[in-house]
Amino acid sequence: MADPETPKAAPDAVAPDEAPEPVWDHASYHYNIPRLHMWFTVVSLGLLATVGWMVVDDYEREWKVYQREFASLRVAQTLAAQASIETEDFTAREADLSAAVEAAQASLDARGDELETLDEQISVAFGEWQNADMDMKFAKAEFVSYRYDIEGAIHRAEVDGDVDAVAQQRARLASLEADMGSARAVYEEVDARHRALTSERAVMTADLDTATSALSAATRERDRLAALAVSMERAGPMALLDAPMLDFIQPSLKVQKQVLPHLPVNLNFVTADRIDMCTTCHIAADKGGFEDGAQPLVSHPRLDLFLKDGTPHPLSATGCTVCHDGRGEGLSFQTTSHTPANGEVWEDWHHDYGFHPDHYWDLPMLPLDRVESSCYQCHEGQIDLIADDAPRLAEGAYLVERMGCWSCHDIKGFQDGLMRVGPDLATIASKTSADWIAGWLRDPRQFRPSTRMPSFFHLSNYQDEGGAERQDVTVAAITSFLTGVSEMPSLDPVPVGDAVHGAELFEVVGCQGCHTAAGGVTDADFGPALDGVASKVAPEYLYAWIRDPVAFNAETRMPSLRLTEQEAADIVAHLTSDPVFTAIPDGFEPGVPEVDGDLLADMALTVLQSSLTAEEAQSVVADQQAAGTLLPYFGEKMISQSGCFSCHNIPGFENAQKIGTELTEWASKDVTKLDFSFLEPGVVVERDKGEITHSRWEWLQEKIKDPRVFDHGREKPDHERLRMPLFNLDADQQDAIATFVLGLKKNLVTEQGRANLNPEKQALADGLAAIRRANCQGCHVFEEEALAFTGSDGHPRLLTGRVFVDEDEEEIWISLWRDAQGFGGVSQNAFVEDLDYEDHGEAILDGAGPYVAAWGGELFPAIERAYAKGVGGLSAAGDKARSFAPPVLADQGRKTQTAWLFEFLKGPWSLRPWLMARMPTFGFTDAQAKTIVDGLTAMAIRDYPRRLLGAVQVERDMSFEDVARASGLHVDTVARIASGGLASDVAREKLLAMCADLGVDPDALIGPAPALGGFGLVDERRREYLAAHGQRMNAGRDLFENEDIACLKCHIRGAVLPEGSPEGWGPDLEMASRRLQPDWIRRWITDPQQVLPGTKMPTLFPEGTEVFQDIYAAPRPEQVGAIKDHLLNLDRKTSN
Amino acid sequence: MKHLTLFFLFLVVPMLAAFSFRADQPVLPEGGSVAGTCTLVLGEDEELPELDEIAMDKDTDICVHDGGNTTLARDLLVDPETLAVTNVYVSIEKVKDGLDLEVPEEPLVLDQVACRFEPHVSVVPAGQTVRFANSDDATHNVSLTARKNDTFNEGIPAAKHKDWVFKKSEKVEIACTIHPWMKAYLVVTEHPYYSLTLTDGKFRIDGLPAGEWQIRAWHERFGTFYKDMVTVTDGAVAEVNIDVQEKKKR
Repeated sequence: MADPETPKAAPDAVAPDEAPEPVWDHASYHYNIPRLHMWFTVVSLGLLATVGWMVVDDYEREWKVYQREFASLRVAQTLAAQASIETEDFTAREADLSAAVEAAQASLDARGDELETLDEQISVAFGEWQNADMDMKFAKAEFVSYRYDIEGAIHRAEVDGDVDAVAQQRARLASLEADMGSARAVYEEVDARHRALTSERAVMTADLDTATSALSAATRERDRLAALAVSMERAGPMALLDAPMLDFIQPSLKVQKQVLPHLPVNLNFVTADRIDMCTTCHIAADKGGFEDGAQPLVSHPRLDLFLKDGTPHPLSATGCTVCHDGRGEGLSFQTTSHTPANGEVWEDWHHDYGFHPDHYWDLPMLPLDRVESSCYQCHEGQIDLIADDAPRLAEGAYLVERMGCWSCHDIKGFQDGLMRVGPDLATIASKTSADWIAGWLRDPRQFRPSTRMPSFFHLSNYQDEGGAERQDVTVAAITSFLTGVSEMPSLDPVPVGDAVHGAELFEVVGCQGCHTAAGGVTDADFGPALDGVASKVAPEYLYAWIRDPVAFNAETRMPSLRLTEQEAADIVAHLTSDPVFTAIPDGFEPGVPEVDGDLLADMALTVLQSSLTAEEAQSVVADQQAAGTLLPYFGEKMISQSGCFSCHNIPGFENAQKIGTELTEWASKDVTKLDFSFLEPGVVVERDKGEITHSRWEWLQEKIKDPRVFDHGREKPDHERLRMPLFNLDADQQDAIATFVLGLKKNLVTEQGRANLNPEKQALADGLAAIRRANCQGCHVFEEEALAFTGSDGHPRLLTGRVFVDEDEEEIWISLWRDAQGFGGVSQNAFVEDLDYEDHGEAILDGAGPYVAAWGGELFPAIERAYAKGVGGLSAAGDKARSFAPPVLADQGRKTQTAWLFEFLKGPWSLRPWLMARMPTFGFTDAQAKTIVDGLTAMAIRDYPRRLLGAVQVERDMSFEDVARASGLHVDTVARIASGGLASDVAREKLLAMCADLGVDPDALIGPAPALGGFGLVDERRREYLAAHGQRMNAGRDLFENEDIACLKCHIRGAVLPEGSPEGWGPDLEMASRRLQPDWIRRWITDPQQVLPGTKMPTLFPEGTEVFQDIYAAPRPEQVGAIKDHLLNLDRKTSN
Repeated sequence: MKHLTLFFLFLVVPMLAAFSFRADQPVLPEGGSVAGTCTLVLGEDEELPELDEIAMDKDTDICVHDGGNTTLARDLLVDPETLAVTNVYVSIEKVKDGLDLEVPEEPLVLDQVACRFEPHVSVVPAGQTVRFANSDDATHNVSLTARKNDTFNEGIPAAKHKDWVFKKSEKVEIACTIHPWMKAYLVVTEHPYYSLTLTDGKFRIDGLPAGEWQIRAWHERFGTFYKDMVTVTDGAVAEVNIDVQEKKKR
């Protein structure tokens, strides 16, 4: 009845049927307490709800949902793996093994009493053993401690002369020693008894032990997976650790974080450690088995290269954003600055996640097809090394170099050792005519569709009224200037040449390793295509040029073929008679445009007024007009503006500055600083969303596609218009260049973060680049053709060798150049069952599909074609013509001696006089020659793990899985090494360790591992070696001179030539001592087909036979060694 | 000995019996035949190509032919009258239920005589041993260009030989690289339905089961230049005359 909240106040005054009005004593209560309580309740409930909301919201955070989903996926994956083990066979086997265990247990149980008695005896014996052991140890301790005590005492007693004391103590010591001896005897007796009992027990339980261990060995992996699944499920009380409110203690759902101080980021004025939390959601990224998963729970591609520990880019050291960009510290879809691949994805994301671009983050995530560009930050200067793994970036870098982007744009790393990409124009007037120059300038592609010279005129920003006329004036002006400044060297007249011989030379001497022409068979594009060349170049100029290109242009990459005057004249005769070279290409219009004097003056005035006063400009124009030199004067101005001098040497512009923007840090430029002009949705650029996205890559893409596109809608005078020329690039090439330029970021990577190469890899990177720049691959094959496919073992296979398609039998065969498990060893022929003729035969014949072209040897088709017809009286069909081609350099690093090769590269001469193909003189500097020599050695070092792997696999018939198990390498890594992937030092060591475990001697299998250096004398020529091997050396001479071996029947020796026609000859053997590596000679004589499959050198000491024992009775390796020693000293022996 | 007898009694005899009583077996070896002539096709105004004269300019005391150091190439031997082509290998391929290939025990000898391979073209059943001999008093070598069979390139000293067994159908080019003009061809076959033309250009293949089979012709100069289908009936000779000419481009 009493309201507790009602203060006690005059109860009498209250009517019985009416509750009294509450009376508030404002002196005691400032607030209306019930209302206060009500509000307090509301607020508390609100707060409680908020806390609940917070907890729920936290529990439902994007990344926690993903991680929970992933946890159940992993459990499912583990259970699936477990299930895949538990096949019927497995279950049957397990049942058998369990039955065996039970049977063994049962038979043991039958002897239960016996075992029990034995156990009791063992237990008693063990007690005795412990006692005896303790007694023995005590006795020993007493003896040792007393001996220690008395040593000092005896010494002192001897000094004092107290003989009695000494004798007494010695007696005591002897008695202690005797005690120790008897204690030991007791111990040994007890120990023997205990051992006997335990081994008796072991015999009794042997069956059971064997059965049990067989069972556990068979089920180990299954049990491990089962235990793993249980531990991952976090079931029961463990689940509480991830429960809301309790998940602060030790949750399994955690933010994953990589802190990467060696890859810092720039956060506007502050350089900070990079912190990547991407794997919080992308938690499957570094784990295999989720390749088919949906984002974010999907495995990263190429886990043999990325993210996993032991790969070159482990997650903990590489993180994510250094490659992908984006905001690594974001923990939600929107805050990480994702980038959609296309408009469709954009709309999906917008719908699903409310996606919109984040304008506040400078480096939004790169679209996936651009990620390669990031490799450049850490791999600058190593492009050739990563080309297989970052093909688009590498292609971009090569194009930037070849197209000469660096000529106008400064790019770090693109100055040293590069030569101007355009020809020297100082002698242009004696090379060609003004008409040709003007025609060429107007549109170079009309003359040569494949040219690297970009188009400068009549582009998209000169489509306004009068634009075409003004461009023609500029063309005429530049032509006029160039012909004016050109010096006229005196050129020798061309002697009468033999065009037929010239044509033969042109086919085979080497021209087509770099140049192609219509009707030619090579794809060589290192030098310009030569169609119509004689319609352009004066014969005298051609004659002088091909004899010594460097004399004309110190920066040309064309080497000298050491042509005699007659040979040069013959080639010129061919070039000036064959219509391929003499006809003006269709569509090309030579001729200098007519110039309207007023228009010219007008244009000159406009340009001059940008730097001079109006009066000054007018007077300059008037002066030039009066002198009749306004046209070349204006041409000079236009050259200056167009930057022609960047690629061409032009007299007067020797010190001119590059006219393009520096690109070294272009990709860190703010997007807001890029001029997108008036490009609006649907105006010019067709995009997925019909608009140009304001991003660096889209800007680049458009810029490269049409360099003048951002003048669209602008009103500018000519000299302010965009001037970058239009390059002759297809869409893929444009893409590649854009990818490369996107990699040119402000590079903050620390020394530790960069890919620091060991000397071998550095030599490889430098060597590959040097080889590429000299176009060695135009003539030499560095890697034989191959077939790439997925083998029946599910791994990618790359079979290197001569590919052969039998159209009659509809089969695909390969003559292996490398050992490949399942297919055979070097020089063996293998039927490629994995490739069905129906599906692949045609493609392989067309050089497509699984067919991988050889690296290098672009000249070979020309040689094949020429020798099929016959050259110089020699002919050879198809493949056979290869013996007239430049040598294959696939394993050159293990063939020639470094010092010899260095000298040869600097000044080559003819090694094989029967070859018409000729090694040109490149004029390499010492540094360049050494880079190439080291590069070839480094290629052999690179190939060593692959060679070793293949040989071991074939020798021991090991699959990739077998090797993975034996070496501890990931199976994908093994497969990749077999396919020519670069092996890390760790992988190499692991393979060598595996060989040691297997008892395989790598040296015996594939020869010693190649190493850099080796400029010294070979051992075989040292005095000590000769002294030690004198007798064998004599045997070597006897073998060498034997008429059944008859080396000199084919080989040249010094001045002595073999009989017969040169096509059957072999190189001069007196060169061998300085030219060839001893181990190469050993391998070569042992089995030439293993070194160079298909060589005409016969095997003289066939494996498994005993030959020439009457000359030198010794095993085959000794006989081969004897010939090798003799050859390595042949040049200093007199033959008699 | 006893075991062998038992083996023979219990296994081989019933097998042979079963084999010989199979009702659906075509009546062999009679069957049908394919025969014809291989003649060279010459274009209008085209003359019979002359054979190259090869100078044998090495080991000139041994490499003597018709009293001189030259020899005629044998890569296209044609009867000037009839234009019949020698050394055309004609075969019927992919015959079902045909005869087994007989593999002679004794080796097929491919000799090197006076710096020429003899014979120039020969056919060897897969599995038969080929003896690469050297009757000259000089070292030769034998270099095989085989893409399917195991291959070798070995020196063969005077009066020595090397035995080799081919297992897959293939046309193997044989050369002596010491004497670059020395060339020969060996056709390896895995079935018995083949014929190699002699100077009359005639071929005949017997014992074929009735049916429609593929006929092919190969010549060292032209490769497999001819492929067609031929219908064989029991007891009849199907006549196929083959034009020898450059293969049509693919």
